[in-house]
Amino acid sequence: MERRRESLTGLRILVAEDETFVLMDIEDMLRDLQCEIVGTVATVEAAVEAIRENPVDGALLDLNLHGQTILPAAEELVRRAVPFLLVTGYASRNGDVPVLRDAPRLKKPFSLGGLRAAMHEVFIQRSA
Amino acid sequence: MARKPSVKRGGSNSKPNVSKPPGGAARGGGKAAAPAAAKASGKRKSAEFPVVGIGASAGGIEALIKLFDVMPADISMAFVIVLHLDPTHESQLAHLLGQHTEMPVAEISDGMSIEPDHVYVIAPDSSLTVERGRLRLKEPAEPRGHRHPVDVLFDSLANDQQERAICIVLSGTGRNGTEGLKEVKMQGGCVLVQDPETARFDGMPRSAITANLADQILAPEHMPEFLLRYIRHAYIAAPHAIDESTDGGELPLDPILALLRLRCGHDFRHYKRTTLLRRVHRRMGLANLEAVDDYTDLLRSNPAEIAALVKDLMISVTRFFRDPEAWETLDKTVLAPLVAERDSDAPIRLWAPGCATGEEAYSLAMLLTERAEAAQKQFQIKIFATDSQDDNLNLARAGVYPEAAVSAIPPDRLRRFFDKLDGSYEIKKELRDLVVFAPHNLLRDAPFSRIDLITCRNLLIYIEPEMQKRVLALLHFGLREAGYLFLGSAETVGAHDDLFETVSKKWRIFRRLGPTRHDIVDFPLLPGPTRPAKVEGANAPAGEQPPARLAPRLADVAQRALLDRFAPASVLVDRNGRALWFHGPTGDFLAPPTGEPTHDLLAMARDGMTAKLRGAMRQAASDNQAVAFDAWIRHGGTRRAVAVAVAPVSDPKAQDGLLLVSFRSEEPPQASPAAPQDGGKEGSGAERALEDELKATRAELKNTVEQMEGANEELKASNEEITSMNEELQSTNEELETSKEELQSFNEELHTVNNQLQHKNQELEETTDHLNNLLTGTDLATVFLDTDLRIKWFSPASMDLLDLVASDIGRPVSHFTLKVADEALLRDAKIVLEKLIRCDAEVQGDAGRWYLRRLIPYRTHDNRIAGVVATFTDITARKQAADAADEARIYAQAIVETVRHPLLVLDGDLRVQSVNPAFVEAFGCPREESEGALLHDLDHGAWDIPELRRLLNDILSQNDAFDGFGVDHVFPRLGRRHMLLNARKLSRDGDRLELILLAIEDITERKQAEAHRETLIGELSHRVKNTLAMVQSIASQTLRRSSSLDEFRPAFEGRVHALARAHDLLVDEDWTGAEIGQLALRTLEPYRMGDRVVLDGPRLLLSPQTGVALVMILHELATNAVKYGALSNHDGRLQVSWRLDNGENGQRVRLKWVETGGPPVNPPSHKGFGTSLIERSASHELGGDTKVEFREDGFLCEVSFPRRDAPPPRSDTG
Repeated sequence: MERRRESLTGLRILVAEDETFVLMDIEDMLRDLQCEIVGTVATVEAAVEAIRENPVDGALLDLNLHGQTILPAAEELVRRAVPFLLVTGYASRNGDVPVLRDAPRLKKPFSLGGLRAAMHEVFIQRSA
Repeated sequence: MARKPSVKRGGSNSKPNVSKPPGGAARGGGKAAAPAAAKASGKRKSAEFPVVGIGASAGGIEALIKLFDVMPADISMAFVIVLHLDPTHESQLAHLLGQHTEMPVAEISDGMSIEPDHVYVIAPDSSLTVERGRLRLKEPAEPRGHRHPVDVLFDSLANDQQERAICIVLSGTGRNGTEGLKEVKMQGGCVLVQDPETARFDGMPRSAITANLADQILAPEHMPEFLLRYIRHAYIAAPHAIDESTDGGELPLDPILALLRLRCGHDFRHYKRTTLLRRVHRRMGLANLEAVDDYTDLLRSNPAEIAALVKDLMISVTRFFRDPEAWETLDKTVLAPLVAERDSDAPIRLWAPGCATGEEAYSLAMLLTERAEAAQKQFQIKIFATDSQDDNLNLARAGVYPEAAVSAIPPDRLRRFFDKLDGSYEIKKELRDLVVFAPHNLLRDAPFSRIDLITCRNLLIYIEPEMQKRVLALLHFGLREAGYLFLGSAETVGAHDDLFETVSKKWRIFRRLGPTRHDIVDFPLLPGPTRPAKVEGANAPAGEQPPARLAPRLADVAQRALLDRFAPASVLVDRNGRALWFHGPTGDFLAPPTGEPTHDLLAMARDGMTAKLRGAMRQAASDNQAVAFDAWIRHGGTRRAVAVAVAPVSDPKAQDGLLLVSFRSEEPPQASPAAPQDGGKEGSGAERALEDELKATRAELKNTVEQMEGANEELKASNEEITSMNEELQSTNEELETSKEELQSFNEELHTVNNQLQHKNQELEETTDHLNNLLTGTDLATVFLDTDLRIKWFSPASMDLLDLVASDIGRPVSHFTLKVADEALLRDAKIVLEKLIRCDAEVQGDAGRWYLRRLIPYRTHDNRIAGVVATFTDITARKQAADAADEARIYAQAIVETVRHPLLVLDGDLRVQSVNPAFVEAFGCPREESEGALLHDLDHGAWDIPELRRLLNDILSQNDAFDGFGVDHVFPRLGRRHMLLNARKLSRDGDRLELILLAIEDITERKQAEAHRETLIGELSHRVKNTLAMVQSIASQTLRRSSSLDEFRPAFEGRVHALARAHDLLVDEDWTGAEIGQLALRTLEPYRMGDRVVLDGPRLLLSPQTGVALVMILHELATNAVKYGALSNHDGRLQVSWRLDNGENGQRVRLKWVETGGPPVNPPSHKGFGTSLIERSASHELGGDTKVEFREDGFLCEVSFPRRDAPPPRSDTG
């Protein structure tokens, strides 16, 4: 059973991001938020594999990795009832399948505060 | 001519209920008791009062109320009202009128007697008449809609009340009443007509006024005032006084008659005094004048009153087939034999003097036509219908009669001879042409002659007996031998029963007896109205006063007398014995021999002297001496002695040798007891001498006596001769007189015909004027050609067009070179003549004008084809307009064809009229399949789009256009298409079909482009945001690793610039990929190392993301090289090389960074940010690995990563 969380501290987070600089920045932020980075992946296969292999509390998923949709990973997470945030520059959700369309999003670029608020809402409040 | 002055009707003296003339003559004539009857009874009911008949129809009640509102209740008159009532409803009229008058108002029941100061109202659905002071109610005989109840009432009222009848016509439609009023006027009654201005419906009043029947035209409220005045006048109030005044032989009318003669040329002196007096008094009554002198003054000052009086005096009443039985008799006894005995084509001449408005003449024409048709014969029928009043003649000529006038004519006859007009009937032209109408006054003008039948009905009764005789004599003259005379039922031939024998006594048909009687015919000698009447001298024998011939010379007279007295009977002969001249009574001596008439004297000489005469003549001729001889001749059984002397006569003027042969009867010698002879011998010488002397004297005496006797006989003979000559002259004179009369008669007839011709001529002239003006006015070039295509006539307008002059008439049209180019004219004209069709062609004239040339057959009035009519109508403007329209059409067509938008033209049924090539191309519907198909059937129903149909129907019904209607429709052949539709209704004036122009804009591709653009924008936004995120990350990472801002700035700028350069490259390549050589070149370019940097490797395309990552790696490597490595001094060199290896897991790119010649290399104590960034990028982003060596001669780095093919340009992801 999941225990109730009051803060982001210690959350096990998977990051799927193919831009090195951005990934490094997210890593720094997550560290600042005292989260545990379970894995950083740059491809969809790697993301799915990471989810299957490691227990995660949440995920920050770039919508698009090397031209491939993150959907398989998102589905994998949904199946496991793991909350995730879609991190993307896309404004529109049109044309997306429901899993992605309805998922909470964090729009690039974002600040530390933005990330914190979004994560707080998704990973703590929603799962509460 | 016909003056039919109104008769003073017997009625004034004899009410029919008091003494009715036997034989029904009074009623049978419809008009009058015989004049004799009129005078017969002088009694009159004392309690009589005027009866007023009132006829009205629509709008009548209103008028009646106005009338009775002001009518005194004690006016001493009775009122009988006939109104057109609905036969199926009970009438409220009596009740209604009762509220407006104090007189008792009653609805009429049959047999009701009339009381003064009462008002009687007709019951619905009934026919009302007045008979002997009682009201009679009957079932109407005619079907509803054909009734004339007002006519019926007026007619009966007139006959019952005569001059006391007063009739009032009020508001109403139609002509009801007018026919009845004629009878009223005839009887001397009074007619009041409502002023049409005040009538709600003015049909009945106007009809009465037009027929000249109204005595007074008044508003209803003014009628009582007039009635009061009128009935108090002596004409109504004291008729006896008038009658008595005539009996006294007083002639108060002479000034009036003179006035009429002077002012209007009508001579009424032969009209019956009583009639004249009564009529004049009637006029006086209407004018409310009591004294004749006053009335005469009125006449003098008022020409209109003269005209009214003349009209009253000559009132003419006639009807079709008046007295039907009489006409039937006439038909059977006169017309039938006439038609039977007359050969076809023979002339039949009838004469109706005093024809009034022509009904009698037309009646005759109808009967005769029917008879002729039954006998299948055709005659030259000529019916002279004459009257002295032009008004009447004009009406008769027009031949239009109200329905009531023809009501007595049976329907089949009506159909046969009349054309029905609106409410009236017109005589058909066929019948009209049989009758010649002419002005003629029987009392004044010479009669027509050789007439088969004269109908002169109800004319004689108006004139004095003396004049009647004259007229009858004229009629006798006018008839051919055994011709017929048809008089009115109250007329007879009277004293002239020697001239006519009776054919039908009852119906007054007579036949002329004997030869023409010149002795009794008194021809008017001078035409003209003021011819002095010569009644006195009229019957004087023609030969009574021998005309004073030229006086003969007295010597001749004397010689003639002597010759007659003394000269013996003699014959002048030539030498051959040929008689040249007879003198005296030669009959005793000469006798014409048997055989041919001869002049041979010897052949004529009586027996006994021929031989001696021959000898004596020979001797006398030869000796030139007188020779005498005695002879005995036998004459009538006795012998007589004759002394003959033959003496030569010399006449210088004649040839020699004339002989005069004289005869003298010798008395046989008688033995006279002459005393002297007895005793002669005893006488003395003196005695003897005396005796001798006595003897000589005796001989001389005897000679003388003989001579005297001879002369006496000769004179007697001469006298006889003169007498016979005189007789001859007289007979010649008579013949001349007859000829003169005939000539006059012919003259009259010619005059009549001439008049008719003039009339026709005038009509023709008028028609010609109309036609000329029409042809000039229309400015239509018209040419008439005859059947040989010769020019018969042309209109003025054709002169210019066809270059015709007047002398061209009669020339064949083929001889002309017409100004218009019309080669087909002749051919077409022949076709028109042959087939009797119309033929149109457009031909060009000079100056570029165009004409519509139309050929039609020229039809004469009897529908014969007499040629061709050619008209030329200028259609240049039309033609130009048509050309312009054509051009516009071509122009429009060209636009439609050229436009790249598909276009459809639809008609009102949404059927495709035409499509343009763009449509065919865009939708793949062949033109031939599309045109003519319904829109929703087009392309197998591909266009069956409900919304579109609704819009198109809207256009047809209300809107004129729609624009930009978007249709998203899946076509079976083309798939989904987006279209924008514009439509316009092409509405035209006139009856052309409505058309719709439908323009289609296929915006499918535009839509796709828009969608693409939106995608691109989304992508761009994504990229920008990604890039921003990356820049943000570079900034924050660089910041984290920088100890100062000075350190941060170049590092950050360098990285951002590298990123920018990578983007530049990708943009250059349209973001499709990046070539590795270019990437390297661009990244190292800022360091401008010239040949110190060597790039080496195959051309190799990488995906954009790989490219960016590689650029960032190269940038970090280059930054390190510039800071610490081979590029930090002047000698170091750098070689960047790459290659593509084919491995088990696909292709791998191997890139080698080799620095040489730089400062000595010291491996760093800890891994720098740059190095870890390189490693991180290579592993994380490129999925590859990195090998870094800090060798002594220089830094070396090797990056190897799997080659990901450049992704397709338009990926949805990025």
